[in-house]
Formats: sequence, structure tokens, C-alpha cells
Amino acid sequence: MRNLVKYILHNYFRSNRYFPLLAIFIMMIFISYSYKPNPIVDSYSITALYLFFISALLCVSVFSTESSVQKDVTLIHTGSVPVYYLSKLLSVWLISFVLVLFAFFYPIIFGMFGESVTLQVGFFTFMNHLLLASLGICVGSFFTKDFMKSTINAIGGLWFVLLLSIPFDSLAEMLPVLVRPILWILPPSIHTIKSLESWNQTTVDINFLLPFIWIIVYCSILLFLFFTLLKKIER
Amino acid sequence: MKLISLENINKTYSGKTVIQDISLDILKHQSMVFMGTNGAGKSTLLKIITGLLLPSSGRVIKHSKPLHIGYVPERFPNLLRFTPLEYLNYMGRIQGIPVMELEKRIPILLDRLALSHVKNKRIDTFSKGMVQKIGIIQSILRKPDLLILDEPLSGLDIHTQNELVHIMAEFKDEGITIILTYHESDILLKIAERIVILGEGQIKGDYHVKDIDKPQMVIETSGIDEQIIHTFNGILRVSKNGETLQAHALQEKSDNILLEILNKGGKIHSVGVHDPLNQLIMENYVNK
Repeated sequence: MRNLVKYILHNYFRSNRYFPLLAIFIMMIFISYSYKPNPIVDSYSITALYLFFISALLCVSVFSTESSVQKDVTLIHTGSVPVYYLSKLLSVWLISFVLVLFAFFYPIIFGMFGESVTLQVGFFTFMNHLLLASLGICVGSFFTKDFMKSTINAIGGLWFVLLLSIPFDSLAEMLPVLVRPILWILPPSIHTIKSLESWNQTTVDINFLLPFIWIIVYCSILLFLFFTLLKKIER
Repeated sequence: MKLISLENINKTYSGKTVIQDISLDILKHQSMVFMGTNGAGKSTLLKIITGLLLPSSGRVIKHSKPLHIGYVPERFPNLLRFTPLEYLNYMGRIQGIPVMELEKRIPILLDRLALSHVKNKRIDTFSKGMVQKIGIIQSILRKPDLLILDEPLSGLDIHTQNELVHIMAEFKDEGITIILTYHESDILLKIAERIVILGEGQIKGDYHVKDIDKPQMVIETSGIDEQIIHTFNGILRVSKNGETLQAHALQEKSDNILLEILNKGGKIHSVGVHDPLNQLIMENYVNK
């Protein structure tokens, strides 16, 4: 699997498809920190949300790099459909991880905050970046060309789901009480951010941790669905 | 000895039947060709054999395990942004071939297919024939038990076609079972031992090449006695067609036979080729 991941990453970087997404992401980070000092948790919440979007789009981009003919060849050499797709997901995650490191360390290294980042705040904001990036990848995996033949529908559908997940509270207010539980289907992109913003930055209790745990559970469900549906795709 | 058996294979895509009740034994060390018009189901059947596609019903039985399959798809991608060395190394490592082994094998294969001089150039700058050769090399990085080639000669010039046919004939001599799809009989005869003709997702014909006569020259002549023609070396049969005689002869002897007829005072009205394999294929394509 290591060699397959190396191949996928090498192929992706040679394709130059990464350039627009990475350029946009880096620009967004620079713009976010265009003045200083910045509040730590608020700034990190925004950059984590950027990562949620960028990781989802990266996933679609990486999955579509290989031509269908080359995909057949790679699949035969790999000898396992799940290993092939797991390697693709891992490749996207590795790229996202580098972006997480950039988003997290850039403001610290360049002194963009008015105060120093404590270990506890640093840990949870870093985890928030990592979890939202993983969430974006898991959501994005359902909008790849393996599931959606039309690129326009895939990108349109992905943006719709990503954007719909942000105004969770407003949607909850708009919907009748009986219908509200349906909102839990949406990716929990905003829950950890709300939790972090209302946090006193000292106490870590179950109420604070629940949104983080929910993202892990949500990602696990999506991964399970992804590999189950892969088997059902007309092969 | 059987390598793979297909049992009552059916394949439907969105309700449309592409393969219909195909049963077939693929024998070890046998080279076979799937022939048929576009949409006959050749590529689908190949993909089912490789495992890339699953049959809607029926079974693919692999008689020897593990069975290593090499696959060269139709229209090998020429947009690969790697050099042959990079690409083949990746394809080898993904299969789990040790690096040391790849370092020995890749240069040998590149040399064998006359690509050593471009080993460090990007594949997306290659000609169609060169890309096809890369496709073949990736399929034999580990010596396969079964080599599957989907339209390997399509779109290539005659020189490259002959070059690839020669390479495939070498693989055949090395004992590799080969399945390929193509539609030109003269080239096929150099490699194929068995021809399976597909049409509308079904097997329309299954022939052993050795049972099919080789192409013959047909000479229409007059002014010469039938008995004299029979004495010429290479004559297969002679028949009367009104005032003229029709002589079937071995292709390689036809020049001498034509000269002999003229020397004996005969007239030549026409010279043509009768290709029983081509005729068979046309009959299967057109009539069924």
C-alpha cells in the first residue's frame, strides 16, 4: 500500500491539478492573517473550516487524476479494490495533513496571535483542523467519479452539501421540530467550532468533547458506507 | 490442461445484455483470439476474465492459484506523466516485486522492446507504438500465467504491428497463455492457435487455426490442359469453370506456377486470393 500511495501522490503532483486548490488555500490563510493580533480560537476555527472545503475538493481532484484505463491497470496490479481506494483516501489525507500543519503553524511561527497558544488550546484546535479535514475527505469521496459520472453534478452536489452543513442552527430554527433530526445527516462541520468558541479554555468535559467524537463517528459511518457502496457499484 | 473456465457467463449493464450465456475453457499455453465487431462483447469478456468486471451471473473458475494475469488495455493511456523507468518501477512495486528484481528486469524488458534509449523521457511525449510497448512491459514485469491484450495492434502502423506480433509470438514460445482481441486474420495467424468469434454477446464460432486451410492463390486460366496444371509444384486442386480452369495453389509457389502456365502457352485471366479464415470470419459476422 505504501508504494501505491507514493504512486498516487507522485502522479497527482505531476498532473499539476493540486495548484489551484493549494494556491486558493494558501491565499485564504494569508488573507485571514493579513492583520495582527488575531484571536486564537476564532482564527483557527476559520482555517479549519477552509480545510474542510479544500480537503473535500482535493479528494475529488485526486480521485479523478488517473484515467479509467490506467485505473484498470493499477487495480490489477494492486489485486484488491478496497486497498486501491484506501490508498487513494490515505493519499488525500496525507496532502491534507500537510495543509493542517501549514494552517496551524503559520500563525504561530509568524507571530500572528496576540498571546501564546497554550498546550491545551493548541491540541484541540489542531485536532479540529485534522478532524474537519478528514470529514471533508470522507464527504468528498462520495462525489468522486466512481460514484458520480458527471463532474458538474459532482462538484455542484459537493458544494451544496458542504455549504448546507454550515448554517446548522439557522436550518434547525426554520424546520419543524419533527423534521429537525434530519439535520444530523449533514456533515458536522460547525459543531466543534461552536464548542471551541464557547469553551473556557481550561475545562475539558464530555459536552465539550462530544462534537469531536461525533465527527469521528460520522467519518467512520461514511467510510463504512463508502466501501459498502463500492461493492454495489455496477462492476 | 485448463487454466480458466467460464461457466454460463452473463453480463448486463443498466438492463442491456452485453454478454449472454458464454461458456468457455481457456487452456494453458494456448494463444487465442476473440474476434467480433464493435459491441460484440470482446472487451467486456476480457475484463470479466481479469476480474475487473464481475459477471451478472455465471462463474469464472481459476484452475491454478495463484494465477498471475498481465493485462494490456485497449488504448493504453499516453498521458502518463512519468518516464518509463518511473512508471514501470511503480507498477512493479505495487505488485510487490522486490526493488532488486525490478532493477534487473526493467532494463532487460526495455531493451527487448527497443525502448532503452527513451527510458528517461516522459511517456506523454511518446508515439502510439511506443506507448503500447510500455503497456506490454507493465503487463509482463512479473512473468504472467495469462497475458490479456485488448486490441493491442489497433491504430499502429504495419511496422510496429509486425514488431509487436513478433514479441507476442516470443511470449507464446515462452509458454505464456495469451488472449487477445483483434480483427485482422493475416496478422492473427502468426500468433493464434484458437479463434473465438463473438457477436451480440454470444459465441458465434470457436475454431482451431490448424483446422483451417491457409490462404490460397486462385488462378483462372485457359489454353492449357488440366492434366499439365496438376503436374506443377504447389497446385492444390483444379476445377473447370465453363471454358476456363480454376487452379488453387499455395501462395508461396504462385509465382512459379504463373510462369509455367505462360511458358506452356496458357492464358491467365485473373489471379486472386482465397482466405478460408477470412471467409469464415465474414460468414460469422454477416450471417449470424
